[in-house]
Amino acid sequence: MSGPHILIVNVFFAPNAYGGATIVAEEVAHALRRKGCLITAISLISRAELAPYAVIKSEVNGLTSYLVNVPEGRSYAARYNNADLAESIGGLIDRLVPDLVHVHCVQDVGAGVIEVAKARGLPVVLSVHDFWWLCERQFMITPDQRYCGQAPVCLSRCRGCVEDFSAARTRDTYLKRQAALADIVTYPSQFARDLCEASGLAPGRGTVWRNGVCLPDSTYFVAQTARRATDARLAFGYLGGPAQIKGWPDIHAAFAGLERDDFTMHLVDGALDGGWWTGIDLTGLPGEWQIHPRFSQAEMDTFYAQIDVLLFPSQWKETFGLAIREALARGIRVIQTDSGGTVEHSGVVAADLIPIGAGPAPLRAQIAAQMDRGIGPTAPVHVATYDDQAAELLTLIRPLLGDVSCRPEATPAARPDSWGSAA
Amino acid sequence: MIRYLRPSLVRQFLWVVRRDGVRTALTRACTYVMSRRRGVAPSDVPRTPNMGGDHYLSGIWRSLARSDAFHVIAAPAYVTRRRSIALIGDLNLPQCRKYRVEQLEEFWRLRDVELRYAHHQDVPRAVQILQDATHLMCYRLSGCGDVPMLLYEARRLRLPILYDIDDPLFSISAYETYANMTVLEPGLQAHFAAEAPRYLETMNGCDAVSVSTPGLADHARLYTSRPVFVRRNFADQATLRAGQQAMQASTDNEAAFRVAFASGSQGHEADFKIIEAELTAFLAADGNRRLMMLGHFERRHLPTAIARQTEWHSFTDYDTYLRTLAQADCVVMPLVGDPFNRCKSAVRAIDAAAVGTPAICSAVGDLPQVVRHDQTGFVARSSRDWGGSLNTLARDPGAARAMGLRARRNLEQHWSAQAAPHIVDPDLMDWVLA
Repeated sequence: MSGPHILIVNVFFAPNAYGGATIVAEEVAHALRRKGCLITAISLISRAELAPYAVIKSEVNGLTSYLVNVPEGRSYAARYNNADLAESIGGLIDRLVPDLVHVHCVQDVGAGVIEVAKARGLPVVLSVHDFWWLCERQFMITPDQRYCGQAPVCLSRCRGCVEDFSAARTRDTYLKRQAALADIVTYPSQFARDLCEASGLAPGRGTVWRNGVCLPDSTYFVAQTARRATDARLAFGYLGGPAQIKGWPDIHAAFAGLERDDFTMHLVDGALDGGWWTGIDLTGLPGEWQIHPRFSQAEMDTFYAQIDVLLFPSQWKETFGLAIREALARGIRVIQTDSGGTVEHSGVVAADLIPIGAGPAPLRAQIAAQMDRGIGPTAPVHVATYDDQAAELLTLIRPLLGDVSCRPEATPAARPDSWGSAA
Repeated sequence: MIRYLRPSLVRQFLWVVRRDGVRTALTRACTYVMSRRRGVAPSDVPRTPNMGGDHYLSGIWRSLARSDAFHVIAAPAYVTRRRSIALIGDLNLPQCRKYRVEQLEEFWRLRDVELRYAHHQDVPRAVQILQDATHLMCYRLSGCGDVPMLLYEARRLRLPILYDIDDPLFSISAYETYANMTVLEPGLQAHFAAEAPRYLETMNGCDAVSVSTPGLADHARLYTSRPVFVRRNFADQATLRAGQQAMQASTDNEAAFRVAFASGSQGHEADFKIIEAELTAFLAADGNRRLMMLGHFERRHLPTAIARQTEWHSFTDYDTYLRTLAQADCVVMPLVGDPFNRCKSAVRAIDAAAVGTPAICSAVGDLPQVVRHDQTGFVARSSRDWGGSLNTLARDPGAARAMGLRARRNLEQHWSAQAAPHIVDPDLMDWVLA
């Protein structure tokens, strides 16, 4: 190891991965490791049998991961400012001695981790995903699952949405103060940066650091072609679950009104307990509907080889839209809404973007158009990889690291019989 | 309730009614209101149900194993960039805790190695300090309670494990020939013998063994094929400081000559027996002579003739013990020459030297290593030597005090927290630092 030791803090991390931002954090971590960095992760668990804030060390695919146990029933304030958790992480920082702390999705971890790292003289990179730093509901979605649409976000307009406005104001003040301590603030899209900075989050300090994806492996297109050879029906895919905010009601209504049934539909169950689609009534819908189990990054090609069109009718302004890039890189067509950071790629056709809140009609029209087009091949769109993303991060942080080398070097094999590699 | 009638909440309620029915909507509304009223915020971190098991780590072990995240392969020091020792031990005996646990913190800190310790029954802390350690030291542990779980966790984390002990608790042969055992209850004697295999099992479950004396090392090698290192007890900074303060606070009472006998644990009556006749004669020769009994001793074992010249001091804390010891003109340290005692360290000689008090000791165990005969004290090789040494010291109090001060200097120069071979086996240093 000749590169810097980077400590990544993310609410979820392997072995408890969940959500797109966590996938990004993990994959970038592995890419950085391939470039010679030492990576250590901190994430949360909640288990009754362990002491509050107990730390358990684990390792997944060669990456050291510390799990901090948070007690149940934490308060509103503890979700963004948890002194006990910050102290626990501070203790880990003291002993792990990283060169830099990378603060990812820290809902439930709290923003105190930034202050803790800065107090130890460490540079901090804050990477903002979703809108947790602006919105206590994280996605700018009202309790009745509508995108609030503020641009910029003005807290006074949140009065009708938040439970306790005074508490929300305290939260807002604290988070913005913590974010201002970070040396670099990154956003996965121009949209996210513009909205966050216009809303007062570390204005002028942000930079766009787009996510990469896992590109298809060499066998993917063979599998895609083979599948198309055996089944000429157009195959749709959807990863958002039965959530209103992800556009499920529009999908259901669009297909319910469709007068064709020569297609298949693949619904991914992303729930940790595999229960997303339990109890969801799919009877009466035309076509053949299948539930595809939750998949890992390594299993992604298997899913995408099964579909021709990805449906992404999100009803809020996303900050990136990982699945869209994964699909485009595999020659999958995408039907999507005009949903923020999801449209910042070279494959977008502005006229095809469906406005948020437009209802099922335009979605149904595009579905029908794709069915008319059939399963013909589509050229993959160039998308950056996680290795590209990691390289970009190393360029960003080099000025923060002083004498610490960023020189790429193959990661040494573990030496369990000798601790000499610590020197 | 009015705050729950916000338009967005009402719309959400009606939407759930349409989609999932009234019953589901009411259930969800009740859950929402109850959690809000309890001040509990919704969390992203799902509560993992306890998967059950016999001990603290059962559930998380099973989860990690199912997630292929159980084994930590990367060398811990690779992640932490430095050495960090987790010491888990039986910390119930204050003297043992001080010499085998607390003073190690200072020793390793001087070498830029962190050491944190936990009582083995404080399971959450013991588990906690393992997680970011590079080495585990098990002090005086037997395979009872949660100890097997802690060792298993250390193996999961790929920590090298050192077993540390300062008495032959694993040795039935030592117990059954130990003179001081004869004064203990038969049930207690049987208990010690029954526990010995548990200590040995734990010792042999570790990678290496460290002990407090060469005698104990020789004895341990009869029971284990693991490497055995010697790490002697020494005078840490706290001891030297407390000893200095005790010397300054001691009152010079020329009228009386005090002989101290200190016992940090039960069962030293047999040791006392070997000096009883000479000591009785010494005290009887002058009414101003006193015996100070510090710590544990069964009074019924003390001869009546001595009792009226005896002062009793219960064992309280270390600083008080040193202040009391500083009042003595000499300290006697008799040890029966049995296999158990041949393993003994010289902590009582260190304590005496810390307060500048000369010692008279048996030529047993490690005592002659610290007490330099006729320089910092006397090593008694026969029963008559005890009386002769006591009389020598009592005849010339000035020379006795000078001898005590030499003992103090010898302690500072040769028996402090230094990584010299007579304090710590170089192989043990390598075991941690290499």
